[in-house]
Amino acid sequence: MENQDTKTKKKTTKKTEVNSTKSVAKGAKKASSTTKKTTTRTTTTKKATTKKAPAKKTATKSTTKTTRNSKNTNSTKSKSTSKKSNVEKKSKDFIIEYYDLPYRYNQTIVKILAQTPTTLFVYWDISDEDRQNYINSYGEDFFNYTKPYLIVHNITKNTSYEIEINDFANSWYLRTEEPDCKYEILLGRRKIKNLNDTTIPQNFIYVTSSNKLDTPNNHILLENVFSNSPVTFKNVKTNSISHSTYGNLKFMPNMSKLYNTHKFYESIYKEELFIYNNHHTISNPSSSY
Amino acid sequence: MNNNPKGYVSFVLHAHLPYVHHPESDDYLEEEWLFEAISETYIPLLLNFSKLEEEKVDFRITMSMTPPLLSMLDSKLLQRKYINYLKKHIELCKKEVKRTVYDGHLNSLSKYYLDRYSNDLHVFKEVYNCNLIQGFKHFQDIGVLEIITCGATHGYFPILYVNEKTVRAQIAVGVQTYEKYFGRKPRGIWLPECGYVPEADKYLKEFGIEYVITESHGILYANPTPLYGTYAPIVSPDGVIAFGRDIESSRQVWSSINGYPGDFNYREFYRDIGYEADYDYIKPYIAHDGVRVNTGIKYYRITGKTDYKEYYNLQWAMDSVEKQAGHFFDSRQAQITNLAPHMHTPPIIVCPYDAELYGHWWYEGPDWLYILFKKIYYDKCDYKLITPGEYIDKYPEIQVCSPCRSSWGANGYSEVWLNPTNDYVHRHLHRAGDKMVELAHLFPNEKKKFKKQALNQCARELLLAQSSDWLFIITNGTMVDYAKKRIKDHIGRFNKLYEQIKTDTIDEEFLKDISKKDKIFPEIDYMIYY
Repeated sequence: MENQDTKTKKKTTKKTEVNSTKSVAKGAKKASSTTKKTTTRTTTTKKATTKKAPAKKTATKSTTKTTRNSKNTNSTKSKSTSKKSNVEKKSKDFIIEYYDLPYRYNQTIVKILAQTPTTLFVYWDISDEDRQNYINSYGEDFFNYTKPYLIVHNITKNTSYEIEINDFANSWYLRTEEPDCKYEILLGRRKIKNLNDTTIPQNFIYVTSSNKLDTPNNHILLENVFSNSPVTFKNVKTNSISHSTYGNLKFMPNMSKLYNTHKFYESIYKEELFIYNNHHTISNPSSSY
Repeated sequence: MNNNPKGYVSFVLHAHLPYVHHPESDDYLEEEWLFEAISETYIPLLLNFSKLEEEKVDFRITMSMTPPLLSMLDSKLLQRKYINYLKKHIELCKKEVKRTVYDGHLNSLSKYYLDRYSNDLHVFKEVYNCNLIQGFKHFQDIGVLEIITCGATHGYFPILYVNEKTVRAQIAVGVQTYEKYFGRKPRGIWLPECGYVPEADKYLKEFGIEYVITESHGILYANPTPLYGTYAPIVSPDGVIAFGRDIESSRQVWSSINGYPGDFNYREFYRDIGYEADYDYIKPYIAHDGVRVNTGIKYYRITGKTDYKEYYNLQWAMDSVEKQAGHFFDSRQAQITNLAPHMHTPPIIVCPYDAELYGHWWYEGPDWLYILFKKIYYDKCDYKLITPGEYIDKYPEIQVCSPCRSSWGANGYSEVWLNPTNDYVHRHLHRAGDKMVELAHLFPNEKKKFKKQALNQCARELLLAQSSDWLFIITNGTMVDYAKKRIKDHIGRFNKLYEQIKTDTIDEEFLKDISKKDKIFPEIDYMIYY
């Protein structure tokens, strides 16, 4: 049913080469560096690259944040290590595998995720069976005469807007105005404007709806502070509850300094922010219409 | 040390590496991530903790040790491979000692590395019997180290929770793995990537987790606004306590402008003999196909902001360590003096870092911690070190707030793990999660041994596919092929096994094969997805 493109080849030599297999395995097991190195280093395919990866991997969290000066030398070096070959190998004790991700799962589905407080990521698909049902109901050209649409419903504010997408995409980034809200998305289709066709209705033809998603908050909720609303304390050992207030706000000037945490992130994630700020010009696959 | 402290400082080191285990080949240099971390971070930390213990310095530190890291430290195969790695390094160091006789300074550095790697081998084999987990457990048992757990494979909750059962399984297996190695339940959890979503709270409670660590705005943007910002924990409506990262102290260590690790006397990470030595000479010690890689033997100090580098000087580096430990010590004193009068409980300054920053990236980091901890113990100051667990026991009155959905990735939300370079992955992870839940419901409490093994292996493949590391590496743009291959392999194995289970055509040889490759969580029970 699913379009799985997985292959597993078994080494034909597996059973016949018992002796040599064993000696290799034993060499490895003994962990004697000499045996091991000679048995394995002669084999063909190599996995090069690697060493730089941990470098880069933790680097984004650590060193790139610190002034390691020789960035230049670093970048040239990491390039030099990027030679790569798939590991098509090796030890006769193991099956050689190769997998690709399924192209699609043939489900009717739409899911939303929050990338940031104001950017949603949506992915979708319509199963072959459902596609056939639409064709049965609305005619052979249903998918040619209609275009996909998403209705973005802000449940918290009870507002909605609709965006036109296209059949070349199976996912999309969306900007929203309001952080800290609950959203739901409806996937559907609409007839292409000015089309001379009477079998397809003019309204939004509903296909399916998404999970409900709460987007993150993106600021200090100073409104609670200024209204001096009561705050609750709980003793986590006894579960007893007590109340307090924001008081005379003596503490708050300190906290307000932190109001713009983006500045803070800029100071520690300088390089990454450069990357992500580029992503901010959202590029979705475009329609050819 | 102060017996009536006005405030507390809490160090939390997050020790994590993705599960890299390739019995099928010796060519995966990715396995060296572990070896480098052992030599540069885990052993130096253990040695410094030991020194503090011997010197009777009372200190406190918290570390998360993730289930993949524990599984790798416990792997006999990887232990053997680490010993080989060390032997190879010792051999190279011996050659270096001969090669560098022409220069006294360089020669003393090469002897230093020879000592260091020889000592690693001694410590690893003789002191810890190849099992570093016991080393860390000892410090937990004597009460100076609080070890917390993590999601099973560092799966990123804010994206996985579309299927909540997959988050529950990450937590369940994280807690089970912890219990296996440490013989008790974890009090806290390091949320993978500090990714907080309130939907996970009920499962954290279900498995007995008391507290989490969040990024600063997890607390600052909470609702209602926490009275004391990140200087006191908050407790969620579901009863999970959240501690937030302190911005000021983070900046002192992390900042690209004036962070400690950039000190000119510190070791320069990017000048490594793997890249610089004569090619034929270094060839046996770099990648098998001859590509130059880091060896860990580095002779230069940062020196300045240009490419001009001078030799590393151990004494100068230690002078900077002293100076910076003093600076950090004084800064916390000032911070706590400022804060304490405004609070009804003593402030807690939470300082979370990647453990691998200490030693692997910031070579002198473990020594810095050692000096700092001694200062806090001996010098006059108004604060003490504490673990989050101890703080909760002392000050159980905690403000009730909902922490903000957040992470510690760039910009503070999910962009690192969800952007145009890696967004295609999520539908596969979600779909596999749904299928796993489906399998658990189709075949609950399976009795047939073989089918049960297959179901359990499906759970392992799913968990391994979910590691946030693969997404991170793809975003980062280096080693992308390896990360993509890992996602394809685990999803591929999962899907194949899923079909075989449903059609009752399980290929015994295939199952055995992937069970040897992905040999993590031997006790897993797929019914966690029920």
